[in-house]
Amino acid sequence: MWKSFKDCFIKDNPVFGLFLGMCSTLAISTSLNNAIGMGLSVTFVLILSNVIISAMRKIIPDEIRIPVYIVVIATLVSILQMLLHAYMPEVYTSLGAFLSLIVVNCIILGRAEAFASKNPIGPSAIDGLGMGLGYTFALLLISATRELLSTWGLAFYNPFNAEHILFKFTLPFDSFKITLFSSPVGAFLTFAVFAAIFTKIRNEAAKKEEGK
Amino acid sequence: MANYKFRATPMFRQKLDTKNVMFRLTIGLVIVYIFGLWNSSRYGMEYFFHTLDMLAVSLVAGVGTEALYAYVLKKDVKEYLSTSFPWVTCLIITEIVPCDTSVYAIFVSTVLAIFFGKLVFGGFGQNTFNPAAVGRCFITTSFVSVASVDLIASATPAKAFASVNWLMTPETFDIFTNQYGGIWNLFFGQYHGALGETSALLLIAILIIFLKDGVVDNRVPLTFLTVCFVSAWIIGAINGLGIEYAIAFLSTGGLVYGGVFMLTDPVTSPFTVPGRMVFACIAAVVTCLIRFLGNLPEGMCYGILIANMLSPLIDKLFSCKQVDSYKRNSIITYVTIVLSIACIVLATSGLKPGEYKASEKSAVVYTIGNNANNL
Repeated sequence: MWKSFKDCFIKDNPVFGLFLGMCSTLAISTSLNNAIGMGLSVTFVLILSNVIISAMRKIIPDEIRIPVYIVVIATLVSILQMLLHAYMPEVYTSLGAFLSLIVVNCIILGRAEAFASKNPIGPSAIDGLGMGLGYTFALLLISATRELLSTWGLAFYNPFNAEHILFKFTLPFDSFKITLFSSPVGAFLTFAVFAAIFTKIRNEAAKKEEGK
Repeated sequence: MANYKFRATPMFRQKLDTKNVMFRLTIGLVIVYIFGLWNSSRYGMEYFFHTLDMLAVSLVAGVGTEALYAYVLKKDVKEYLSTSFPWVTCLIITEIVPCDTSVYAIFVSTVLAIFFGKLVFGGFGQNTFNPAAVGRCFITTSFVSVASVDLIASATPAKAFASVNWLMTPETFDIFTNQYGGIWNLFFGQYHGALGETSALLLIAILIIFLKDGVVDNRVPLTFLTVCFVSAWIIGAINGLGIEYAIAFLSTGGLVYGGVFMLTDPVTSPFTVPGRMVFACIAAVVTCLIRFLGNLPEGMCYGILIANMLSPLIDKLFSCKQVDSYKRNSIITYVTIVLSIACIVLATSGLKPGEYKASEKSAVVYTIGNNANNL
């Protein structure tokens, strides 16, 4: 069980390994704060939806399982949206439409269909946690690279209070920034480079295992 | 049996192999560069040295990236470089960026262009897009206002022409040409601008030599330049301008350079004969539409990239028995040429000829970010 949790980061990373949830990944990864906000929101929804669907797996008729999953996920997203609106207004405004689009995020529906509907509650919760953290990890990698290159610095503030800046620094030679990386083109380029690196790591690991 | 020899293909060797073609292309590019160097030296030593810097940085970045790539993939670096020709891309990038782009911008965009435009596709011969045009795009999108050198520059003709959407009344056209020493000086190229865009005469001379030696295929540049020239001529005639307008339209900006050095790239253009003519038409239409209707000052770069993108599709359209479908192919080709000229002319029908402000006649002082969009 813990091995599959560990796999979520490199081998079965939802973004770089399974290529799920790419739309939000490319759109939202412009800054560290967006990445953390989005990643934790998805993790929250993912764990709860996995637990609820796993608990209901024996009473859901097979023919209408997708609508049931959607109802569960949409309810959770609505709850999340209201919570964020109340307690983290900054995150709520910066994520915008992508927050409600978590409903159709392929990772959540995919894990519900592929894992939670066949496994008991405990493993489903851990799978949700692993997948959510793997997604957050991927988002952090892309957004840190993009923010560093496009603004030539990194900034991170407290999600609950935008005035409380946790850390912020700028590299010397401010004019060296490459604004291209804040545009969608930059998102695709960064994503492609990381996906290539992850594929390389996976292939090497697979080779090693074969060698054994 | 003894008379047979076994050896690897190709059995038949042309006088011009890839290396020889690339060598001649390099010489052509170096001649353009030297002209640009001489031209820039007339605007002060600062310009001259900046021009030298630009090429040096671009070469270091481009050749360095390819050498590193070959080293990481454990290939023979020297062998790899000699069959990959990174310096051609570097020379083209140096010649098409505005002459006062900062060296840092050139460094970054050369590295990105060579890596994302060429190496990830599999290196020389496999790239879909012209790497130099990709690099130019990076500079346009990324370094318009940030990375600039503080050099004093007068407005380039391309910039001035673009400020009136490439269409002006006869009176303002006279003011415009007189400002740069008349229509023939625009053609000879003794003015300030990107290295490759100044002298149309030199570029056409190089094109004629290339065509004579068979270095480049004649369909792409000739179709491209003809479509642009004829459309500009018709548009000029509609608006009461003579053939001088068409000459100015052709010799300002990167039109001829793109047609001679970039569209003709055998890797990124189609390989069928009618396909090449259609390819050139598409590039011409996109370039002229961006010039007349777009917000960007020059459309050459995007014209090349969009035509590059379509070239596999164009090849698919014409990949049939060439002899059997000769009639069909030639009808498609000629209809495309006529349609593209009609398209360009009709697109300008709603445009009002711009009024060129005479106050711009005196040299305008601005830092370089402003004319970063010239090609």
